[in-house]
Amino acid sequence: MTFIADIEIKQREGILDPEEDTIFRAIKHINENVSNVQLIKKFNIEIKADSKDNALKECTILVDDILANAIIHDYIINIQEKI
Amino acid sequence: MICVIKFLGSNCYEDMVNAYKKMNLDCQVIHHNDKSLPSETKLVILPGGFSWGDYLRCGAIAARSNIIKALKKFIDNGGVAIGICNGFQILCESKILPGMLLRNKNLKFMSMNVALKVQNNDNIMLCDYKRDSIINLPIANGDGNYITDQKTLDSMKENNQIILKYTSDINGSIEQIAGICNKDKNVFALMPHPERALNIKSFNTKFEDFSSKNMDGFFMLQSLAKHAMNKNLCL
Repeated sequence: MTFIADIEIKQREGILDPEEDTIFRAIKHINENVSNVQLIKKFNIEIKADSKDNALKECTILVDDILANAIIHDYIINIQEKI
Repeated sequence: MICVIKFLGSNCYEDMVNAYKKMNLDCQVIHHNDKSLPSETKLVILPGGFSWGDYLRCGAIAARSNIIKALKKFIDNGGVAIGICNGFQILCESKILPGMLLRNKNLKFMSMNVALKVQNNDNIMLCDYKRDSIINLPIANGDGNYITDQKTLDSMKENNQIILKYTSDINGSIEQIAGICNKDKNVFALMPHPERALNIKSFNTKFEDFSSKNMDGFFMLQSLAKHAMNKNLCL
């Protein structure tokens, strides 16, 4: 079976991302009502596995190993079977 | 023998080789795909540059290369290694050193001479410098903003792992950290480039900009090689 993993990686709360901060200030210049901006990196991965659980396991290993850095990142993985 | 690792996008390996050739030391460039280090390796250098275009995160892809696995073995056996600039980022990404490096707080690529304070000299790299002395070295990076959690920072302070600090907050680095080492003090990393400005031709002779002061980097490279060569390693 083939699964599609939607992986969202964002900066942990409390860790200042200078890029995010600069974008926020630029947006605030256009619209004062904006109170926060979050910059999120999204990966879409197709993976072969025999179950949804195994696909999630494999993706978690990938994210922990290379896609995210535990010191500054939090992540969410969503798995769906490819139709 | 000194091994300088060349990754795709490394651009400071030749400066490093030149620096050690000037000291009449045997220095060789090793490819990142190699699965082992030469058996006579005494010192490994991860040079500056932009490995794999700094894609994903600086040093993240290089940290998963074959040679890093060999480097980990070498380090576990007590081998001496140093990462400069991108090499620092690779050592952090491969979890050989704690913490990681974020974009500079002003989001700019910073290329200039900076003043650094020798924070700890009880290690083989900075033993020829006086503690708290100020040295000058060039920096050239976009991601030099060092970060780590408080617990790790406290343990690094306790073990004298913070070796160099900027004299002012130039890039947002936590506690102005510019260089660190591991607990066993055989792996070193710094954002400034000690290998640069070792050539007399790189000194500004038109007007006094203190560029000749950058020679300060020579002694840390020399001391590192001297001590590493005296180590007997079983590889």
